[in-house]
This record gives sequence, C-alpha cells and structure tokens, in this order.
Amino acid sequence: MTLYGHVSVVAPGMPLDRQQALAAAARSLGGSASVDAELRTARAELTTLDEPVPGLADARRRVAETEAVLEEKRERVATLRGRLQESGEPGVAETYREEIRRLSEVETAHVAATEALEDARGRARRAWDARERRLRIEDRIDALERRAREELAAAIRPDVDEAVATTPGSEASSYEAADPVTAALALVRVGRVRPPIVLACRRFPDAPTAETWLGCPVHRL
Amino acid sequence: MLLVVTYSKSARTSLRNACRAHEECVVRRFGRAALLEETGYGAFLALRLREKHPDDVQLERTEPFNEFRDVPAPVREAAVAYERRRDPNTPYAKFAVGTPHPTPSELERLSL
Repeated sequence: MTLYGHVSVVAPGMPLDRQQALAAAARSLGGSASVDAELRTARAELTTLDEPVPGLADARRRVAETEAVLEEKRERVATLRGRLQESGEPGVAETYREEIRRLSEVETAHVAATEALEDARGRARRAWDARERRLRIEDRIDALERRAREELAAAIRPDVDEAVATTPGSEASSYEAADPVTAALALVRVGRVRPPIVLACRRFPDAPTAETWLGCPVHRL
Repeated sequence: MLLVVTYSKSARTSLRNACRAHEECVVRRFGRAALLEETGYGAFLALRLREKHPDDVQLERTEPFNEFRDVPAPVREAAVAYERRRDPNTPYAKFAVGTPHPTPSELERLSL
C-alpha cells in the first residue's frame, strides 16, 4: 500500500499499521531496500506456478464400492461351493458357474478402479509438488517483505520521531508512543503525499496552516 | 494414524487452528502437516479441512512401522552393517560389493 493509502483519512481512532505505514513513507521518498531485486524475482516466479489438482474423490469412491461388491461376491461363491459339494444338485452347479463369471467381472472392475486411482494419485502428487514450491516462494516473499519493511522503517524513523515531537497537539516524543492521528500527521510531513488527504482532527486552525505544515493538499472536515 | 498435509498458506493456517482447538486428537504437529488420531473425530477434522481447501489438503492413512514384520532380514542387516562401516566415506554401492548385502538396485526393486 502507498503512504496515501495509509493516511488518506486522518481521524481519531483511525486504523494504522505502524510498521507498514513507516515503510510506505520511506518508499514515498524513493527509498529502497537491499532485498528489492530478490523480491521482484520471487514475485515473478510465483506467477509461473499454477496447476489444478485432479479430484480424487470419484476414483476413491469407485475403489471402495468395487471392493465391497467383490467381498460380497466372494462370500456368495464360497457358500455356493459348499452347497455344491454337499448336494451336487445340477441347479446349484449352474448358479455356481454363473456366480464365478460375475465374480471375475467384479474383479476386473476392481483392478481397473484401483489402477485409475493410482494414476490420479500420481497426477495429484505432481500438482502438489508445484503447490509446495509455490508455498515455499510465498514464505520467502513474506520474509523478504518483512526484511524490506524493517530496513525502510529504520531509515526513516529518526525523521518521523522528530516530526512527532513537533506535531501540533502531540504529547508523545516517539512514533511508537504517539496516538494514530499524531503518527499519521508526522508520516505525511516527512513523506510525500500527492492527492489531498482528509483531515477530521482539530490540530490546525485552518487548511492553509495544515497544508504548510504537512506539505500536501488537504480537505478539512 | 491420519496424515494431513497442507499446500497453501490458508490451508496451513486452518490446520494450525484446528490442531490448537482439538489437541486431544493431534498425535504430532509439523510445520504444515499433522498426524491425527485414527478416530471418528480425527477423520472429521481432516475431512473438514479438505472440504474447506479441496486442492490444498492431502489426506493419507499411516501405519506403525515394524521392521521385524515388514522388512526382510537382509535389508535390516545391511542397514546395521553399513552404519557400522569403518570408513565413513565409503558409498553404499561400493560397501555392498563382495558382501552378502543387497546392491542398491536390488533394494530399489524390492517391494515391502
């Protein structure tokens, strides 16, 4: 976010991410961090990584279903075999042959389902590899951004602390200890803001005084 | 146990929150992965995570590893012998030559 994004409306109780805003103020003055080039490379790497993960749920369901049917058929065949050995009825023999044929069909279906799931898992693994690389790069970007913010903030902090001490209505002597309005006004004075900001605080008697002190155009509410 | 692996920042955050809120079914937590108890509740948590982040959550079921049941003796013996080798710089392929220990390619072909 630009400095303007942080301080476009200055009002009591405004949200202000101190470290981010401080770094943005440094950036507004053309400041840079030692890790900027590395950051650009990492961000460019991110855009080249994106592969959808194939849905495995259907393949898993198919394996579970064929497995259940297979169990059932195996039990049926075993029961029929027992009856056949006991009675030797011709009708039982016929049913037994028919069930054996069905069992073999179910076995084929189960093998096919298992292989399909294995294939899908292989594809998913490759997609996850890509996502894992992406996550590593994202973590690296976070670390680099933190580093950049720290460097930029450290560079500009003395000037901002000084501005805090001279901000009208300020009781603080450091950026960290200042209330959000004081902190924001000090950032505007030190940094560079082009579009007019909205002031909803009673720190200046009139707009020209505010503009002179802040060095940027203002709307007063 | 149930192994949950996450592949995005948001999925990793969800896993961290779930593990914090339900310590009783977390066996172990790693950076972006966790092992959950093999209970209905563990499965419930794992499935919720995948429902929330379909592409970024991998679920697997793990089994305790028992080398005396799952691994042939030559593999176990080769591991022990190689870790006790005299010269730490000898690669395994060279170490196995002229011994009863399996070669690297034999090890690769062997399925447990």
